[in-house]
Amino acid sequence: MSVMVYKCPQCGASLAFDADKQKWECKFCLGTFDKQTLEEYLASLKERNPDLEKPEEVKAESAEEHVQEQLDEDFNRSARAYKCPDCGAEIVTDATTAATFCVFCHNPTIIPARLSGEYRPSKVIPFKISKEAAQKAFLDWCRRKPLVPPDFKSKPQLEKITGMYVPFWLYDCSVSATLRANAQKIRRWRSGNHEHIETKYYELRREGDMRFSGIPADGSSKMEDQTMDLLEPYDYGQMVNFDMSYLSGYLAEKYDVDKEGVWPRIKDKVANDAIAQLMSTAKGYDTVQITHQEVRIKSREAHYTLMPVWMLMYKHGDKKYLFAMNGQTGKVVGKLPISIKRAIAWFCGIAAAVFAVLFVASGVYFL
Amino acid sequence: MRKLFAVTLLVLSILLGALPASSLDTAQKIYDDADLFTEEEERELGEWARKIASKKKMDVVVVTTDDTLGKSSMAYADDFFDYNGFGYGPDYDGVLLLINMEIREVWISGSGRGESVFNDETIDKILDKMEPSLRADQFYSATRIFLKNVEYYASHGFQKAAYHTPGLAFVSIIVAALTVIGMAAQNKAVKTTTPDTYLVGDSVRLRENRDIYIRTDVTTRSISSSSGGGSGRSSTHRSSSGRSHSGGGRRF
Repeated sequence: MSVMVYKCPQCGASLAFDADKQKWECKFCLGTFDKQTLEEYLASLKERNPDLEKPEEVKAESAEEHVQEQLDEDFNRSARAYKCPDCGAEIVTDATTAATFCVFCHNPTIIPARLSGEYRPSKVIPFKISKEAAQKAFLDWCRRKPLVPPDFKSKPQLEKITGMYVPFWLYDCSVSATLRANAQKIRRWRSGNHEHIETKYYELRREGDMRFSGIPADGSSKMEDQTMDLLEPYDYGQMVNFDMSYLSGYLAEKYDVDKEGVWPRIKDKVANDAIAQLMSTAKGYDTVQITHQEVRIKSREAHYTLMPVWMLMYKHGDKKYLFAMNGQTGKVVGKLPISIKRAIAWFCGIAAAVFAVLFVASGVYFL
Repeated sequence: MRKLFAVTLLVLSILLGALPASSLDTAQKIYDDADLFTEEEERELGEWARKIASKKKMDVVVVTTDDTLGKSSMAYADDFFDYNGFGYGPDYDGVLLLINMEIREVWISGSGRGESVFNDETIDKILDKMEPSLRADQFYSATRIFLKNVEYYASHGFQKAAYHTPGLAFVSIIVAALTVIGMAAQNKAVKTTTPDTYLVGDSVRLRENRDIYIRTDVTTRSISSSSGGGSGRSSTHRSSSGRSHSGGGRRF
C-alpha cells in the first residue's frame, strides 16, 4: 500500500491546501497554485512517467502494509504503517485515516487506497476557514464565556487544533407523508359583567409528497453524532467534485459506518422535517394536537461526501472537552468547563447588585 | 462585596440611629381600662410600644375602655391623646389605638406627623388586618397587629425598604441564579437547521388539505368588578383641645 504527497511544481516541496486563498501553497518557496495549474503539472508528470498512475505515488518495495509488532491487540488490529515518501519514516495511522501528516518531516500525506473504490467520495466541501481563523474563533468563543476557569485559555491548547475532513452521507429522499390532527380556535370577549370563551373544534387532514436533498449524517463512529448534527448546515453551493489534492495539509477519515448504518438517523430527520412541513400548512389555530402521522420513503439515494471540520480536544481537570467548528461556515459547537468558584462569585455579585438597586429603588418609592 | 455590606450597614445605622432620648420613651403606653389583656401581655405590648415610640419618634398609645363618658370613640381617643401629654415634638407626633368595648368599636387616631402617615387609606388597611382578631375577641393579637403596622408605616422610606429585606433578597437571589444558569447555558450550541433547510424548492405537493369543522363550544362566566383603591387622602378634624387629628374606626 502506498501514500501520496502533492509536490510543488516549482521546487518540489510538499503542498498544502490554503483555506483563505482557496489555492495550494508551498511553504518552502511561497508559490501558490490554483487547481488548473496543479492539474496541468500532474498531467505533464504523467506524460514523462507513464508507469506512474499518479505522480510521486511511492510504490514501496515492501508493498504490503506491514503491521507494527505491538503487544496491544487492539492497536494491531486497527493501526497501519506506511512509509513517508520524503524521509522514509514510518507513518502509523488508524484503520480509517485517509489523510495525515508524517510525524517526522510533517509532510502532508494522503493514502489513496482509502479514497478509492467504494471509499471514493463523490463530492467535497473544501475548507474555507484557515487554521489562524479557527484559533481566533476558539479564543473569541472562550472569551465571551464568563464562567470559564481563568487558567483555561492557554496557548498550548491552540496548537492542537486540527482540520479534518469528516466522512458524511448526504441523502436525497422522496417521501409521502400523512398527518391527522385536532385543532382549536379560541376566541374570548366580554359583554357587560360576563366573559365568553368560544372554542371551535376542527379536524385537520394533510397528505402530500415532497423531496429533500442533502440530508447529512456523519459516517464516522469516532465523531459524536450530536456534535456533528449541531455543526449543520453546510452550504452545498460550494461543494465541488472530489479531488484528493484538497486533502493535502489536513486530516481525513474514511467512513466506517456505511450508508445503511446511518439510514436510521436520516430517516428520523426526514420524518420530522416532513411532518413539520405538513404542520406548517395548519395556520390560524390556537392549538394543534397530532393524532396520527405517517411518513413513507418512496426513494432514497446516498452520496459520500467529505465535510471540513476544525476540532480541538482538550482536557481540564480530569474531564475531556471537545470544540468543533464547521470548517466552511464557522459555526461553533462545544462544551466549556465551568469554574464553580467563578459561578459563585458571579452569583454573589449579581445578587448583591440587584439587592442594592431594589433596596434603593424601594426606599425612594416609600419616601 | 464586603465593602458594599459595610456601606449599607452604615447607612442603615444612620437612618435608624437613636436621636436624643425623651421622657416619652419610658412613659406608660398601654391603658387597659377594659381589662382585655393579662398583666404579662400588657407588659409585653408596653415594651414594644415604647421601643417603636423612641425609635421612630412617633408616640404609640393603646387604650381600652368600657365607658367613654358619653363621648364618641373619636372624641374619646383624641382627648385621651391631647390631655395626657402624648406626642413627640412641637406637632405632638403620635398615634393612638382605642378599643371601645362599650359599643364594640375600634378607633385609630393620628396626630402631628401621624396625621399624614395614618391617613384614611392606611387606617383602613390596618383595620382590615385587625378586624378578624377583634371579632374573635383576641384583643392581644389584634393589638400586636396594630403595633406591627405602626412600626412599618411610621418608618421613613429606607427604613420601610428595610422591612422588605426578605422579599428583596429573595428576588435578588432568583435573578442572580437565573443569570448564572443562563451564563452556564451559553456554552451550549443551538440547532440552526429548520424543516426547510433540506427541502427541495417547491417540491411539496399536497394531495389532501382539508380542515373539517367539528363543533363550537361557548362557555360564559361572570366577572366581579373590583373597586378602585384609596387616594391616600387624610380627612382631619379638630378635637376639643383645638388640635388637629386624623382618624378612622369601625364596629366589630
